[in-house]
Amino acid sequence: MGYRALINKNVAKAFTLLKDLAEEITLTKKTATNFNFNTLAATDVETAPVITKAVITDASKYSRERNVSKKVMLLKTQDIGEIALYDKILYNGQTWLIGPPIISDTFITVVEVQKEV
Amino acid sequence: MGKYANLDSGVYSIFGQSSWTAVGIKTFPANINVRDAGIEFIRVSVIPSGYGVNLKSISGVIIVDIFVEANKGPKRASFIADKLDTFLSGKSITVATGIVVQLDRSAVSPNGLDSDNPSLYRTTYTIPFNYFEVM
Repeated sequence: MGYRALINKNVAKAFTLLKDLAEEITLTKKTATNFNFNTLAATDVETAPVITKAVITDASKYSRERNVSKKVMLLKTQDIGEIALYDKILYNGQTWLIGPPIISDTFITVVEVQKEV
Repeated sequence: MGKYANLDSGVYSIFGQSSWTAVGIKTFPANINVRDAGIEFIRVSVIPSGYGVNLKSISGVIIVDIFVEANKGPKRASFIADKLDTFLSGKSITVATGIVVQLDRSAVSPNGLDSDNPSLYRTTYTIPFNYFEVM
């Protein structure tokens, strides 16, 4: 077994050992956003949703002009592949949008997700 | 539609024309997060920030950010700015009966490496406009 497979196996094992701290989420990724200059309509081309586990490592709420809730999620890169800003995560029945920054390597991806509250 | 929607419709429709798409420069509006834009594209923003001659009219500026490959000199950005001029500078766009957008003269400002992606060089093309709508 190569190092890559070995590390991925241990990442998966770590998520299993975290039990209910690793919570189920549904990730919907965009492959493209098309804009029609004649109708001014923007349409997302989305992939089939990916159901995976996420560990919430930080959560905060802040308010400057509005109330915004933010969570930091740790995900398995092998499960989700490459993600981009404004991909959607369904967590606890609510939709969160991925904002900057996205920190990702071959094994682990850390994202900040936000929503208005 | 109101004046702001009419203005957007008129200005952005220029970039929906087959003659513009034939130029082959990837074009996106503001507030679109695009994937795989490549090493050369433009982003169009319409900023209706000034008053018009009546309550239904307005003035402002169209800002086109031109992104080209860094470390290649000014030639390509100038070429794209000239292309934009052929479609925009001095043009009059009839949006509907009694509704016209008049475009003025353009200016170009090199802005250096893009802050988000320093492998791209950003040049800003601006052109003022007046939107007239008959009361």
